[in-house]
Amino acid sequence: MTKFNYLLALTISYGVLLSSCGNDEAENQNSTETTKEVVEVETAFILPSPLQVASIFKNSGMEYVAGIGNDFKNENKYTSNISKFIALGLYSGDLAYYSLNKQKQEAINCLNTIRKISGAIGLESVFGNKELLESFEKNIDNEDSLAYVIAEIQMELDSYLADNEMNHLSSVIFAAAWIESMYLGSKSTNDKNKQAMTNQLSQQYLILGNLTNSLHKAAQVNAGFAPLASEISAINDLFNSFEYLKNKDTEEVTSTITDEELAKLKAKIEEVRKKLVEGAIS
Amino acid sequence: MLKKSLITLVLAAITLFSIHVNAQCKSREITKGCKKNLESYKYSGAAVTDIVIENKPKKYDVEFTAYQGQKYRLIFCSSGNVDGLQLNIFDKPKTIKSRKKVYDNSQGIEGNFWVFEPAKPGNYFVEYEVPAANNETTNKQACVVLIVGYQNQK
Repeated sequence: MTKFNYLLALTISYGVLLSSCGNDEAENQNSTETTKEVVEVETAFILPSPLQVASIFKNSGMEYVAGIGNDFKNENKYTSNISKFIALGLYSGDLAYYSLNKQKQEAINCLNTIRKISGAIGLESVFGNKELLESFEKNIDNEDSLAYVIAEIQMELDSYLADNEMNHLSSVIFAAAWIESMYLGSKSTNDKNKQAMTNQLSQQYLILGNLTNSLHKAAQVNAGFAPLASEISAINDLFNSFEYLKNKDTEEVTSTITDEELAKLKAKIEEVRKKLVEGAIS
Repeated sequence: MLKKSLITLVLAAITLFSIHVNAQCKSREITKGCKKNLESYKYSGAAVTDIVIENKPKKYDVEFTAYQGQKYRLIFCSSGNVDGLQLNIFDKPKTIKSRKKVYDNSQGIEGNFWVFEPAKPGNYFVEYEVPAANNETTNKQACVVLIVGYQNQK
């Protein structure tokens, strides 16, 4: 019986190997008849990290305003997996904000909240990585070194999601982090940094086309992400309705957002952020 | 007998599946090997591209956003050598006729990375031009990871 079983297995393996060898042979024959036709493969895209978006604002003079991040107590509101992935994004945006603004205790509390949430959605191997956590604590007093540690955590997260065929979740987490960063950026604008912050807020349209497409793909994998996709899509539509972007597909964008458009954008960001923070999109 | 046959079939299937899985891209392993090239740049994001070399040349595009006030380092890591791989950066998607090449291999690619300082903020497109296989092509599959690092300009 045992021999039969092994023979059966060997026969299957051999059959598969033969068929694959056959394909190679066919490919070799075809390769001698190479044509000039070029196969264009679908474009992939790289979303920036939450830390990068926050650092753009920081570099434009963003100043710290206490108490505007997502309350750590809200963590209990996020009961579904969808809301936990969104919350992970919101707190990632906050972590970047606290770290770049040297808010040591807030950054530690934020990372602990992220660890709790990530543990509940199967990402404990990324955020529970002992070495990274030790490195985080060791560098807590130096915001530049801390930024490198956060960037390293982001790299671990991206690799983990890519290797486990969960790429669609990257865009979900980033979308929530982006909303949070836009909210924090708009709330941290004052007379001193207004011009630079406005320029940075107005160039954020650049990622929205890709982010929207990516979220629609995520919604195909899990319909629960469809409401988030439609919220981001609405922000993209709002940007596209602004005068300064009307010829963006054919001409270089040289003008900037008007005060009225900026007010509309801030109001929309605030509206979407409120829904995310309250766990209403899940 | 049926039970034992089933177990053996499952084992055979697992073996074959493992071979298939091993052939796929393992982002973490590849990234780990070349992240040191980021040096003083901070990690922004990465794209994993599974390249299959066939009897027709292929073009793969990876898009990334360059913001005002930042410069970038693009790092190419590969699971295997791809003969004749050409890398270009364009300022617009391939669907737009006025797309211009802003950077290519001839401008130097040192240690598999480029420093890219975009003239203006916008979305840029890194194109991998993969030649068709010929009789000397030994490596027909490769995994290319493009890592983007950023640095704030003062």
